[in-house]
Amino acid sequence: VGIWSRFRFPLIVAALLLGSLILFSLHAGRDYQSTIAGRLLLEIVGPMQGAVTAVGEAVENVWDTYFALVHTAKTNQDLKRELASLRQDLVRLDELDQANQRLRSLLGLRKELPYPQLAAEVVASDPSDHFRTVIINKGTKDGVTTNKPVVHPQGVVGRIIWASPHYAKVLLLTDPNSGADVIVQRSRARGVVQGMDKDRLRLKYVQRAQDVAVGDRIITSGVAGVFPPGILIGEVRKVDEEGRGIFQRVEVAPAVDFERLEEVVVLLYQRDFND
Amino acid sequence: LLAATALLGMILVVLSTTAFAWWALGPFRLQPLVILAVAAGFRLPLFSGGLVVFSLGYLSDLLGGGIVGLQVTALVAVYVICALAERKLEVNTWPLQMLAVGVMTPLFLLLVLLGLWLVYKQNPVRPDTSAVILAQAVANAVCAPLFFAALRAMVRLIDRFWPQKRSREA
Repeated sequence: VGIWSRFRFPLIVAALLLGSLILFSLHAGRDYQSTIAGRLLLEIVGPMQGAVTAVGEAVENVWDTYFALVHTAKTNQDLKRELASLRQDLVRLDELDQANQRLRSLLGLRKELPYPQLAAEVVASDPSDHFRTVIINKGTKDGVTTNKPVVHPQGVVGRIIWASPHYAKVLLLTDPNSGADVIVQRSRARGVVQGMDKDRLRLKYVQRAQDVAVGDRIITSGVAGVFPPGILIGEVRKVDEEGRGIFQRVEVAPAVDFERLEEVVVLLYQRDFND
Repeated sequence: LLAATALLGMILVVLSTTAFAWWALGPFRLQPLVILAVAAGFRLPLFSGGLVVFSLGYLSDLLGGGIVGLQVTALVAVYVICALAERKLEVNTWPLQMLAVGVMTPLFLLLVLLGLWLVYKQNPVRPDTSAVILAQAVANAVCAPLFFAALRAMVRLIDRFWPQKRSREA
């Protein structure tokens, strides 16, 4: 008791720091693990994130359509009010038109890919700039499980790393921990694509003898098991043949615009390795 | 104050994945949990405040795509430094606490970057430039009073809902 009262402060400080360092060292360098706490948290926080997203969209809509007209001159007030109403309708119609186009492209994707699919909405994104994940509003109750591929009409989005009953977390292709086995569509050269930052991918393990050129399309090979073959990943942006080593340094621009991701499609695809 | 810090922290964790993420300019974004950790370090009892900061860091790590424990460690370090400073210095005004936020934000970001470097030595994550870190520190320090006020408002709200506690304190 004497030691505790005398060294209480340093002991608590040491316990807090040690606890957090132990937590960090337990998870550092390991694959993402879906814990009960994480799934439960996602179930609790998911609706809140969805609500904030919905409020944010509503506020944005009000901001775009109403507040832009606040400084209308009094003499033209009636006219302006009518104009505001028309603009509001126009914005709503424009929004509907854009949603229609997005849904049509998702429908097109459904026809193109012969796998069971599930459309989902992005409700939240990663709080930090160092990792790239989003949360979608579909979970295990809809058939979403870990490692299911997530795509978009433009190309591959990423893979599911966690799923709770109604929500799931998607590791985007641009995350440094993300990887996909790919081929260059023109020359059939094999490699592995890995995330670099928000709009760049790195194509690794392509030997110098292999033919890769700027503008080449990179597609999934279907070998590693997560992604089905033939889905667009992106286009080669830069090839550096000057460096040392047996592999080329290739930079790829992702096909998907990750900054504007609103709806995605989860492919309920699981490769059968017996085939 | 402890309950208010925990509740506001939960709200800020949710907002970090939605509202603050929308308003981010590339790598430049507010770090409200750092502000809360600084406020907790100067105001809360060491052990219970530490547990709240630890839990908020854990929540943030779970909701983000990062390594679980990375933000926990950085936030707990910030909290502990503030708790140590509170014993030695009189940092009880908002301007001084804003200054502390300005100093602690780069420390938090550097600790996160150090953790990332330790884990991803083979494939290092692009580090933030010193200009970005400095800008985040200034933005966090300038915005800190908003979060201090929110914390004070949360305390009042909790007092209103649990008046017995208030009378006992009185």
